[in-house]
Amino acid sequence: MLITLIIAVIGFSSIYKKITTLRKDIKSSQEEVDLLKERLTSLKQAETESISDSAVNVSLALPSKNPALFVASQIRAIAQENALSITELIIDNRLSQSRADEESVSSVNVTVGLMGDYTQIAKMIEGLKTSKPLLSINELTIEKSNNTYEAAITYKAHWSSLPATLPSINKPVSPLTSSEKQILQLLTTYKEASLVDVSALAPQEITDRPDPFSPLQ
Amino acid sequence: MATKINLLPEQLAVGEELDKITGIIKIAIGILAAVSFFVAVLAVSYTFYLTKELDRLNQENASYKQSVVSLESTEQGLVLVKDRIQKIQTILDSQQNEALLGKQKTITDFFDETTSVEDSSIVQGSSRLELKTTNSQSLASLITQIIESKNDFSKVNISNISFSPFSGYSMNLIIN
Repeated sequence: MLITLIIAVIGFSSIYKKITTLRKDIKSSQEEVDLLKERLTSLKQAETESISDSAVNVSLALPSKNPALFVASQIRAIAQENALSITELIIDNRLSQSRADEESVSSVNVTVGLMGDYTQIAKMIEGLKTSKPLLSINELTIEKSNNTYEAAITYKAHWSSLPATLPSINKPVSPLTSSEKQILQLLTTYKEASLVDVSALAPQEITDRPDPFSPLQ
Repeated sequence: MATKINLLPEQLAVGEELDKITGIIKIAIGILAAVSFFVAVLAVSYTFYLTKELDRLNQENASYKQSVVSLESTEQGLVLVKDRIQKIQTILDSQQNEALLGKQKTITDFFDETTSVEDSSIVQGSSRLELKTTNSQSLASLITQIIESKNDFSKVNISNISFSPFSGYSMNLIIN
């Protein structure tokens, strides 16, 4: 009887251990399934929200590489739209700041000198404020000179490297929040940069040009 | 009729009380065995159920993982968008000079045809606006409008007002 009792105790304890392990495994498996379900829901939602278009939109606003050339092109295009003369355009790469410690956003200083009407300068500043790539005003001076205005504006053009890894499959991915959607919506209203074609001037033939070596008459 | 014959000596015969206890023990063992058997059947069934449940969850898990992997490009897009938006938010939040420029624009929107900007600057967080007007009434009206829209500004300082019979009134504002 004692042996039977010992066998029963051993049997029950091993079954109890097995049950405990199974319950623990089921709990962790259930948690993983819940996480994956949540992740899948977020991804399906992102797919319906045409996330690829949004990715293009945000990448234009904050590119992965120095956007100085696009910014210069954008400045030229908007200055042309507003009938303003560009007196100088300086891209100062030496002043580019790499803020790796602050979420790795870098910036380069782009200084533009403008000449024209005050209203047009204001329109240009507004136009650049709502353009992609994103610009921040670093310094601005506008002075009246005779009947025209001269402006010197230093912008910071931003860029940031792309995320290198995807989150682990066991980590949740949340869908876009309402504030994130608001920023996306705002960015869709911003004007995209386009490279301005600078056509080379065709050589001109100068007619009726006096020959400097012809004998004096 | 069969007769009961006890072959054991009288002194070895089991007492009536001991017989009763033995009977109780036998019943207890029987009950215990039955309960043990019942519990064992339950435990084995429960283990079987848990094993099946774990298998089902593992299959579900694998199926979800496959679905997630098939949406990898969407995931890349989502991660990129979230990363960019977070950084764009930081940039937008740091645009203090744009806010100062907006305040300058609020003031220049009050200008009438006799008032014009002479000089404007935003340098190191300090916003300054110099204006000229040929009319004192325009100047008074402008100051009234600025006072009325005080909620748009933290502070507007008039650092200088001057008058010249040739160019009219000149006013320097420091806007915050």
